Amino acid sequence: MIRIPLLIVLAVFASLTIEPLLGPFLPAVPMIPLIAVVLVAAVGGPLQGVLAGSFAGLCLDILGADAVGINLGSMAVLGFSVGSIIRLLPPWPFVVRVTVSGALIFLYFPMTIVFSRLSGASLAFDVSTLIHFSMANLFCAMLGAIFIRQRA
Amino acid sequence: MIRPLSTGYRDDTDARARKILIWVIAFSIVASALHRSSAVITARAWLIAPLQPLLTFSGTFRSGLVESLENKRVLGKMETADGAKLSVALSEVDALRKELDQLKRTAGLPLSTSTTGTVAAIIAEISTPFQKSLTFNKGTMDGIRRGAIVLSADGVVGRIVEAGPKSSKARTILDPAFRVAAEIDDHAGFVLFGAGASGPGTAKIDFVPRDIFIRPGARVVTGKEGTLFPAGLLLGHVKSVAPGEGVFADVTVEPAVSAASLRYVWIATTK
Repeated sequence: MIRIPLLIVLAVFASLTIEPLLGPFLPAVPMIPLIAVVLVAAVGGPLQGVLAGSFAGLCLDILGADAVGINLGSMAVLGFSVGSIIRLLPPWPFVVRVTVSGALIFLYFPMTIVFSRLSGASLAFDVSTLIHFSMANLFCAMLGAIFIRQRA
Repeated sequence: MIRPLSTGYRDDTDARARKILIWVIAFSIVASALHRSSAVITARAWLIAPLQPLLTFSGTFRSGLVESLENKRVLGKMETADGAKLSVALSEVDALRKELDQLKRTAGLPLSTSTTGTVAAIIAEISTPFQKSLTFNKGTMDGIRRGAIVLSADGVVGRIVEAGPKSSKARTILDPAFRVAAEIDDHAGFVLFGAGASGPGTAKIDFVPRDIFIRPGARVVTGKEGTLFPAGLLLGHVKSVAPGEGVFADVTVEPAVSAASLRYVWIATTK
C-alpha cells in the first residue's frame, strides 16, 4: 500500500529536479507524475487512479506557483478516467490497453485550462504544444507499461 | 448491466472512487476560485512545511546535477558559477548606484533609496507547458515578501508570488501568467508575457505595432511604465519578428536567463 505514495513522491521529486534540466534539449518534456498516475490507474483501477492523481496533483500544486486545484482536479479526473476506461477495453495486451486508455492524457491540458480559468488566470497555448506534450507523455506511459509487463 | 471481464469489477470500490472524485473536483473548484484570498495564500505557505525535507534534498540534488552538467559543459553557455557572477554583478550595481548618487548630488536631485536583497538557492523548479516556477530556500524570515523581484547576473528571473517562513516561490518570465512592461531598444510601451504553452523556452511581446522596425537580437528591457520592476533590467533579446494577424506584430523573445542553468538568484528584500 505504501508503494503507490512512494512512487508518486519519487515522481514528483524527479519532476522537480530532472524535468527542468531536460527542457533545453527536448522539444516537449514529459511530466513524470502524470505518467506515474496513468500507470497506477492502469494497474490499480479508478480508486487507486483517483487517489494517486489527487496526491500527485496536490503535491505539484503546493510546490508550484499557480492555484491549488489546477493539477489536483486535472490529475484526479485523469487517474479516474484511465482506471475506468482500461477495464472496458477488450483483453488486448496490457501495453496496448495502456496506450489506448492513456490517450486520455490529451484531456489533461484542456482540464488544466478549465481549472486555470476558474482561478482567474488566462492560459495561452497552441495546439502543437498540446500535441507534443501529450504525445511525449503517452509515449513514456507506453514505455512504462512495457517495463511493468516485463517485471510482472 | 454489462460488466467487463478483465480486471475484477467491484461496485463498492468504484462507488468510493466516484465519491472521492466528486469531492476532489469540488475542492479543486473552490480552491482555484479562492486562491487569491489571503487565508488560502497563508495556508498554502504553511502547507509546504511537510514537504521541506523533500525540497531540501531536491535542492541539493538539483544543484549537484546542474554543477555536473556545467562541468561537462553540456549546458554550453555557462561560464562561471552563478554565485560568483552574482557577487560581481552586485558590486557593479553598487558602484553604479554610488556613481548615480554622486551625479544626483552634483545636480541637486534627491538621492536614490538603497535596495537590499539576499542571495537564495533554487531548491525546486516546476516546468510544465502551463507553469514555470522556482522555489527558493529563503522566505519571510529573510525579508522576502510577495511581489519581490528576482534577478540573476544575466537579467530578470521573475517575481515572488508566494513567501512562506523558510521558502518562497517565483513565477519566471516564461510562465504564461507573467506580465511586465517592456521596451525594445528605444521603443517603449509594450507588454512582455511568458509564452509558456505557446512555445518552449520563449516569451512574447504584445502591442508592438507592425510598422515599427524591430531587429532580431534587439535588447528587451523592463519598461518605465511598469510599477513592479525598476526600468532598464534586461529581460532578453528579440528572437524573431513576424507580421502577425492583427495590427500588432508577433515578437518572440529569448529570455536572458535560463532557469535550467541557475542555482542561485538575488531577491529584493524589505527590512
